[in-house]
Amino acid sequence: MRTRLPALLTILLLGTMPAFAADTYEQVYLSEPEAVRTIFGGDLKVDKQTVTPTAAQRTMMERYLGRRLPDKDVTFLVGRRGHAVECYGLILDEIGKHDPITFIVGVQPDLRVKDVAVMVFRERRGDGVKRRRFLAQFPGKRQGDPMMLSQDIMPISGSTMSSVAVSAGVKRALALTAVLMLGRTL
Amino acid sequence: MSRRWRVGHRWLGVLAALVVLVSAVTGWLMQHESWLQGREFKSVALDPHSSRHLLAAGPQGLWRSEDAGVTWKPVTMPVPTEHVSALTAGGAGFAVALRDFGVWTSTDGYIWDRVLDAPENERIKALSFQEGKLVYLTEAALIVAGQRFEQPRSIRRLVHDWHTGWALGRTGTILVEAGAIATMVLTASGLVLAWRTRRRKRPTFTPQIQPVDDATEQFSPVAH
Repeated sequence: MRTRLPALLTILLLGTMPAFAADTYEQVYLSEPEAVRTIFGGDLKVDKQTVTPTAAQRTMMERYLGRRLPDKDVTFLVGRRGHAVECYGLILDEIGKHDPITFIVGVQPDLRVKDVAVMVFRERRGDGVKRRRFLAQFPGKRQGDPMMLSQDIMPISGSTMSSVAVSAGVKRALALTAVLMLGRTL
Repeated sequence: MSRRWRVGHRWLGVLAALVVLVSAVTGWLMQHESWLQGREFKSVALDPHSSRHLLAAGPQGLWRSEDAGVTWKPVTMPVPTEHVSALTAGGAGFAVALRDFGVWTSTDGYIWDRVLDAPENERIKALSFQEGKLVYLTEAALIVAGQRFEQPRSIRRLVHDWHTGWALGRTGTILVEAGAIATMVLTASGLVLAWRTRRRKRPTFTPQIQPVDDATEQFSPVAH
């Protein structure tokens, strides 16, 4: 027991170290160029296009999503092969428990999710949403699907708020693409 | 120990096991009220700006009626609306407390903002608007304008909190749930084991009684 005590104390000390660490905590999993490559692949020409929704469009989307849209303007990444659009992409921030999670959502022109990837995670807990086990639930989801925890999305244990944030973000991406890029109504 | 004591002990054990089993099953189901109830409203709030617009809440979610209660459809929020613990309406609009996702407010009942995280070890029991600001009543305190007034906790409340696990917050409810499931499994397997042991102890040999005539015939000396 006596020989184990210093080891136990060291483990305890190391375990509490993060509590004294700086307040800012940021895990960068993908830079913007890497995220764009993940969603669009290497063979599409990707442009940026910024759109400002009208008051009517904003109200329609906010009512559909049941919450406020955080940004005034929305910047889309548009992936083209020749003149044909093959994929839209949105880099979004969604508040997890307290801090924003940055992720990219790829949306096909038929309003299906192509893929989702977490780029930056800023909280000490809940980073389970970066795993493929969670993110693999989104590809193929369509605009109009509930994308709600315990309905069509299974949360990651210990990352419930982050799971809610990513699900809400994917739903937002589909709504934004439908209304602002394809001129649909919700 | 006499046979009578052994039998009495065994049956008392079975009775106790059944009581524990029922307690475990009902305790476990109590943690999932929403499974047991359909669209049962427990609270209703009228839009202060439109008398035909109502929101109603129950364990299975939050519903909206735009025709003064004739038809209802689910309210869309960015989080699951199960386990609504309080709903209110006032001059500032609507406010709803969700067990796992905190308190949300809305001026029109359609677009919601999260205003408070779910408290760690308490459930919000009631909400009210006071001059546009929210007043919260949790199981432990009344919170007015950010100021917390502790409420006296009755012994009954304490017993209830330990029974349901809420004394330790959400972690406690998960522990109670795990304990309840373990108790159900242990009780059921214990009953099965007791039944099998009892069955094994019973004599399996049953003497075959033959008619006297046959026996006589069988053992009678054969005449050649």
